[in-house]
Amino acid sequence: MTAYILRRLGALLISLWGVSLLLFLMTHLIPGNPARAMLGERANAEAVAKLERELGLDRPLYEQYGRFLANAARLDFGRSIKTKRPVAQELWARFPATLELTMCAMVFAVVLGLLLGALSAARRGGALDFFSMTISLAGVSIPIYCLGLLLILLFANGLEWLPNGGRHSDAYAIAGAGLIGSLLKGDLGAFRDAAVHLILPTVTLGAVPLAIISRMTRSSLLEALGQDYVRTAEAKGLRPSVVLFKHALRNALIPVLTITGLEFGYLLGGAVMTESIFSWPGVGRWLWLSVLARDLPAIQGGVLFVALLFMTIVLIMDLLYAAVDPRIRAAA
Amino acid sequence: MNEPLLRIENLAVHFHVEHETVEAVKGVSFQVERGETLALVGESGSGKSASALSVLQLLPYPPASHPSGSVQLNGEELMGAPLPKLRSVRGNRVSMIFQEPMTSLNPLHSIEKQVSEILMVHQLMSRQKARKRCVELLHMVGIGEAEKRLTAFPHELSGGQRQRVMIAMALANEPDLLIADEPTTALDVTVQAQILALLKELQSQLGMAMLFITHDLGIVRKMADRVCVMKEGEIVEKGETERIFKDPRHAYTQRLLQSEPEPLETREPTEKIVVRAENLRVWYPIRRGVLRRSTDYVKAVDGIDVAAREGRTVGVVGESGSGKTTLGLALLRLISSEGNVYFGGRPIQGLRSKHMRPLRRHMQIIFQDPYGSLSPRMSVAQIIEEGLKVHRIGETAEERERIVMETLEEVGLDPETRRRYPHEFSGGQRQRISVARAMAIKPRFVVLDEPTSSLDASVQAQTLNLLLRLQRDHGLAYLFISHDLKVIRAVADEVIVMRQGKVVESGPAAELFENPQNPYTHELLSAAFDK
Repeated sequence: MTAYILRRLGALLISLWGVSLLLFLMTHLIPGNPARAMLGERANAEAVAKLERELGLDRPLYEQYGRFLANAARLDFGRSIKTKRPVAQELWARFPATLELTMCAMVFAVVLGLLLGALSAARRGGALDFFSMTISLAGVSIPIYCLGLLLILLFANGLEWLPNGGRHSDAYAIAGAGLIGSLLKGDLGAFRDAAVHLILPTVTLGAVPLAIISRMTRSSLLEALGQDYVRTAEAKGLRPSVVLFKHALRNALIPVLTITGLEFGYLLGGAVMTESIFSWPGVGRWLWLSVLARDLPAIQGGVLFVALLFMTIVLIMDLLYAAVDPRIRAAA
Repeated sequence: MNEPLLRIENLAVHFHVEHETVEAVKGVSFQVERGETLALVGESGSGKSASALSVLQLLPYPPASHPSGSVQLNGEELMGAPLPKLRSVRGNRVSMIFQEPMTSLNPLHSIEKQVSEILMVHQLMSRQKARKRCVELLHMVGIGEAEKRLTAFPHELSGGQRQRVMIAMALANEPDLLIADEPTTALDVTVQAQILALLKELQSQLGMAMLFITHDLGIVRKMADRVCVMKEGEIVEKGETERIFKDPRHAYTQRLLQSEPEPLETREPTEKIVVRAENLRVWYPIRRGVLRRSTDYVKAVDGIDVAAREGRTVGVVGESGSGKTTLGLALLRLISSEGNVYFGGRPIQGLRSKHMRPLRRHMQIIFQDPYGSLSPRMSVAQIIEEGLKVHRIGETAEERERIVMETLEEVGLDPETRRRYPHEFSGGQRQRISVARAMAIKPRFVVLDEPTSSLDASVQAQTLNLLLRLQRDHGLAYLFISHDLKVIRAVADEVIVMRQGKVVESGPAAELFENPQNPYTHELLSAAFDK
């Protein structure tokens, strides 16, 4: 098992190196001079040359990459051109907001998705099956921005039940460190405020994973229910709920785990749309704004960070498979 | 009390699939007395499994339904009984074992969990008590070091051990009736003999009755007191086992009894070698550690000499995992191997795939599973024509079509069905399509990898006859792989007995079957022929 984990970690490092290389080449090979782009079309050649020197853009490519890699290993991604603050610091300031939103969306998607999928499979062809599969089809079909705006229109602007964006109300701006932060401080008012702000973004961000997880659970469970060991379990005289949950569902979980891990990683890095719609101060929105501003160090640092997150989650999922399935444990 | 243990009256099973109703069982009646063994015999699709599963109502409802029928256990009606009542019978008074011990056990639960569960449900045992009983049960079914096996998972056990665990589970609550649905079909012959002996011993120990479902007449003769022969959802004949075998009355029973393949008559030896291998080896490395260094090898094929002669058959016998299939694939160079391989005297080991391709025409393979080996998206004509196109046989489309039709005719299929797709044919017909695919390009050497193992007895005999006729007509050299010694005896001139990648015995078939030298061969033969 230790060898398995070490091997996976080795593979993770190699993939990360690959991402860094690709990222470096992409940001340097796209046409246009970053220094000029930052300074604007009317900047004079001297200023551009000065900025190039500052950024190290006048050095040979391999040297630039070497420095980039050495710095990245120390989590030093340079300073953001826009804000002049260290990129790592900027990332660190926004990551909790993204993590909080993503975790909530995933919990929402996994809990509801497993439940809907399992019930649909158990009552295949019934009303609930039809209803939940229709909802999940809608979930994957509606673009996120549409869903987000619709929810805002209905619940924030129309019914005025929920706030239309941001992580907290102005009144809690100072206390505000989100759900966990306010809870740690024991500020229940701030906690309630943070929770209310989370509802719409969570539903918006969790809609697609919810749909995918419930469909995957349903089909994977239907397959498991057709297996011989399920018939054995029935022949033992077990209750249908025991057959479903103890025997079939655990076997059905492995593909669901895969897709959950991928979705989680994807959301962590790709919550751009949701974060923008709900003015959520997270990594996705910041990264998007950095791309628009051609803020090179920010883009490189941000993307590498997101890639690291994604790969870590895939690694955790691989270890989870081994926990669920003794056959994978044996092969490891 | 004269009530039989199990009385089944006028049982029908229908399956409703997309506006169509398949009548799988059409009103069968039989009974099982206390302590006796009744065998339900029939070919696939005869309704024997559906009848057996109906006893505990374990069929998928819907699509399954019972338009009529009564199932009485000790005079108590089970048909239509509420689920809690059925559950109290299942695994308790009536239990079942199935064909596939690998898939019938939950792969994610330990042996202890699976066996204990049934004790905890019906006898409300505590976990500790259940564990103790579990160890006893594992001992009873002959699993060594039972305590250590408690934490094992199904994949860590051999096929025979898995079936023993299934039996331990089924007998945990000392049932009155054990329903065994083809319990040894997926096992090797020697293991099969052990499991049958175990079942018989436990039956007399516990005094239970058995309902034994099988297609294998050899097993019926060994196990059953009485027999019901099923065909197309009906019982066509029933009676005492001895009487059925001595004096079968129904034409179908007679045909079934005659379908056992006849031994091949000795043919003149020939020196014309088509394919030959010397010291053939296929070793797979076992890799361990962080860097996956190979620490040892699995010797799938370990130094085998073999020669396939024109118009003759080399039979390869062995149990699962003995390396038979690997040997066949290595001879065709479909997997890489070491040692020398010659085709028509020319060394072909190490030839590039470009130079191998023209030779492929002369070297073909036919697989066991006629379902998995034909592409479901290609018509029969396309499947057969593909090889012709690859090897540029037949100048025009018309020419190729003519060859396709001739080949279909030759393997006994109606050429008019060539535009149909594989799923429209039965298993036996599909195997004929596989044969046609291989034979259309006129090969000289054919590897037949268990070509009749998934076929019913009567179809098996027909397929063997077809293969022998094609061999005679075209002078084909066969390497015939099978775990079934009766089949090998019916086709092979020479036999190789394999075990763990090595040849334990080889020689002319007649000699080897008459007078086996190696104890392992002896064991195989006695398991297969009840010697």
